[in-house]
Amino acid sequence: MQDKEFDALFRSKLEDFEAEPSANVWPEIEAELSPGKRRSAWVAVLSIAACLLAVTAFGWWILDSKPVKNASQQMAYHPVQQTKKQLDLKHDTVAPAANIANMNAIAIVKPQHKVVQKLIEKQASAKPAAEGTPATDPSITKPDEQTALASTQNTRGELIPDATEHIALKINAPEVIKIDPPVNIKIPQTAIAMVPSKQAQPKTVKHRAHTLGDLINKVVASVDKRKDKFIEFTDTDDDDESNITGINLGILKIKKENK
Amino acid sequence: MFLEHKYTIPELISRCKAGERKAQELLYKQFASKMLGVCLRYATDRMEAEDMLQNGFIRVFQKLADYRGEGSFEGWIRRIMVHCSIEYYRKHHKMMQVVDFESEGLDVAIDASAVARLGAAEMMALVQTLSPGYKMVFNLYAIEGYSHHEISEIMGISEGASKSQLSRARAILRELVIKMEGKNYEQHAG
Repeated sequence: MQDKEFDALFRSKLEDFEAEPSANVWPEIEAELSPGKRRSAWVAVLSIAACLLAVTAFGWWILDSKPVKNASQQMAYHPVQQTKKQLDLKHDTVAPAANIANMNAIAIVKPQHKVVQKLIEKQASAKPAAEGTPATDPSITKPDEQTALASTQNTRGELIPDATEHIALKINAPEVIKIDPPVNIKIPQTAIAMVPSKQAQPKTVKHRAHTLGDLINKVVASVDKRKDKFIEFTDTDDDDESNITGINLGILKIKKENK
Repeated sequence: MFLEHKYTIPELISRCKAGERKAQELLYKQFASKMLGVCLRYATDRMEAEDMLQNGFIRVFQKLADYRGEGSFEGWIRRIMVHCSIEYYRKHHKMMQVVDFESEGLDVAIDASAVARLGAAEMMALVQTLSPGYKMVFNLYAIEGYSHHEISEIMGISEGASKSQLSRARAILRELVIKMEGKNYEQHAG
């Protein structure tokens, strides 16, 4: 028999040979496919979106914490938080009318926290600089709005937030006030206690998070609602570095006396 | 739990490309049995054949984007299956000892009818008993229809080696057929 014939006989019977695979074969193939292939596009898109969202949110937070330098930094939305600084109240931007449309003024009074949300710190009269550069002042109000403030004023004409009471911010410009629900208005209780003893800074606005520690404090404060947070950093202006001033892990509690 | 409605192969392919799991399963079910038949010829046993099948299909789905509809889809899958099977074999067994020697001209006289009488399963068993080098070459040449040139590229051997492997393989198979015929004869006769 010729080779070709021989091959052909084998081929005819073997090339269409069929055999039923075991039942476990497909699931194992599928397992290789799903996580790698099908989901990869989905997962990639979602994770990118999530990252962008997180970055944006964080960026917002940071921008809100940093001293306002120019108009562009005036955020529409400033969570009011009391830091442990002299001026413990965070401004929101009560920007000039021009910017109001974009801004969510935070004017939320949270009774349980007894916190001031919105503090208009500077008065146009007390701070000429502010007048000239309303954009740079994070909490500029129109002169006529000053009177609406319920806060007490010291001799310098500055506002001292009555942190221990509710400070309902009555602002004449209705458009200014927009409640921003998701914003953290929480204020560390310790900070509140310190408010009355502190006065607003003369010219500069020192109610922003200067240091990384203060920033961390804010973040922590939003999460940890206890009086003593699980970790606290110094946030005074004097400290350029942030030191840990308190740790509260339930079991372990450490707190520096003098903050 | 099969098809809700019949898909054509092109439909099935595009759905698989889109990542439709159901379509992928259907594609598998459509070709699995035949492809296992291919793998069996390259494997030493059933379990190994199924491993080869698995790898082959994974590769098929991975490379599905490359299939442009040119030529038979089954042929395309088959080629992938063959390559994966050989790849698998190489990975899990010692390098095939392909001895490059001239065929010794052992042309055992054999009756075509003897071969024809063999059932497919018996033939499969015969092929599986061949040692790796012979098995691969015989499969690639006689069954898949590759040329010696192509085989030399696939297996990384010379064309001469491919030819000699092939004739050796045939010789062995012929002997085996005769043996099997003898057994069959005995069984029938006895």
